[in-house]
Amino acid sequence: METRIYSDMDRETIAVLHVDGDRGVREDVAEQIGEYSDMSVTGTRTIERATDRLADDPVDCVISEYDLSDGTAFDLFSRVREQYPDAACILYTDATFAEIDNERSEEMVVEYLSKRIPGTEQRLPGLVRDITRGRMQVGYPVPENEDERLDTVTEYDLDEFASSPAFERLATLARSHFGVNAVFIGIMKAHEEELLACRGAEWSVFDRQNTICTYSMLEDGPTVIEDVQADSRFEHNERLEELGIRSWAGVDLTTPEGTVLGELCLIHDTPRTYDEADLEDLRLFAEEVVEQLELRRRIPPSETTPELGE
Amino acid sequence: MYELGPEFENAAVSPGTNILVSGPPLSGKRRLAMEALAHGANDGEGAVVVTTRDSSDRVMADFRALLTDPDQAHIGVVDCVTQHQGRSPSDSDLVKYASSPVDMTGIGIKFSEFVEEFYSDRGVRQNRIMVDSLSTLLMYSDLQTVFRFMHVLTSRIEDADAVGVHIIESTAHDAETMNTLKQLFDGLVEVDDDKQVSFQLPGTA
Repeated sequence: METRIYSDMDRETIAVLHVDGDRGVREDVAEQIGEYSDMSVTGTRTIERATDRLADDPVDCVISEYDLSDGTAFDLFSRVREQYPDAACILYTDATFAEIDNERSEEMVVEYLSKRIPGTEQRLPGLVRDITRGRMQVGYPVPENEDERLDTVTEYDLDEFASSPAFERLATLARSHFGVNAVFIGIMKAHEEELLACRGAEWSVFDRQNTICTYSMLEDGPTVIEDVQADSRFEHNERLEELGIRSWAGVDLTTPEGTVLGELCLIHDTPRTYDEADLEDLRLFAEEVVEQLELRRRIPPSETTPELGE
Repeated sequence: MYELGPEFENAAVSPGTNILVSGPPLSGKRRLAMEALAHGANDGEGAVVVTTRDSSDRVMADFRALLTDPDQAHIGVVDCVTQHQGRSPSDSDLVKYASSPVDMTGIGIKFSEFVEEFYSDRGVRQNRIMVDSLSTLLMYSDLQTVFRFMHVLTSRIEDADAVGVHIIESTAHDAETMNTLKQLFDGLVEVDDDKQVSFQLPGTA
């Protein structure tokens, strides 16, 4: 289970980590990026120090020189993507393309900007913004109206809701109704799916790229994946295998205005099927979840009556 | 606007459009995509082919055959095959090499070098890009990696106000893979076994 959470700031300020052994370059980049109020940059010189930074503060973008004293940029980028799969990676380097070890860079999708071309440092801020805001290096599809959708998700004060027992109760009911290993109610944020409630497993947050919800939220109606390992989108997904997610059924949590906030999901550890009546029931459970969310959005927490908030 | 020519029912698409051309083997989808590039190249536009399937020699020969004046055309090929087969040619004006179909960083860089050279150095403002093919990429890498890579590539094509024509073997992948990848494209062209072509292009009925 992933335990850290990307900062809620991630949609406001782009957090950049810059790694380069040359102090002068770090200062130049800090100056270039520092001019923009929607970005903040931290500079450091080694992979080790960068890794410490990653543990403390979430990043949206990592810029690195290729040659570092304790490895190459690709060693660093691998660590970054393990922790923040959606992070943008930019190689900003003196090394020519021929000097870069192709074996090591295989399958890594990163941007390359040569320091050798005069004036490239001025292109950095624009590049950082395009890649992060445009989610260019992200490994999964997002809904067409993603920015508006995320704004709507923000309107629901989910931290407040998470403490409400109503959602846990619905998950408990759904779990016994369908006879599955686990049930969760997940809200899809920019980079992660946060669980409002989960029964049958100790899960609280998933990286967005590892979730089935990422895909099912793009489809209309309930989605059933009888056998996760037989689906080309998930057969290589080690995370799902580790978590014992072998069968999956889910339905969108859609607001009255038609925005998909997340999914209500049924998880089982062996392949299984659901009939039409099951899916209709699943839809009803989802409607109930949305209704609870709507009530809580309309009534500020302080005014919530005991019947609603318990 | 980019005119796609008679093979595309004379449709025109806006700068930044990415089109996916799918079809079974031997259906003529590759030739169709090349026709779209040739239509522009014959009119002074740039043409860049990223090949993960055939060598650049083969691509260059096939493409030049479609041009009225091949020596005057702005052509670039990003060859991801030849070095992978163990040979080590160096980059020329016409061909740049990536080490293999999984060398995502290399492919991206070589592609950008061509587009930048055409656009900035030669003043060629309209450029068409062909990627042949997504199916080879999927043979070497998983869907998530290919999606990430194609997301970057299609975004760059969009940023450059170019047009992308991308090829995929329809029979080689399941519906889930196809549907996931289709999210990246603005237009779809499907060729069937009988070489019948259907178009779903933005801005055309």
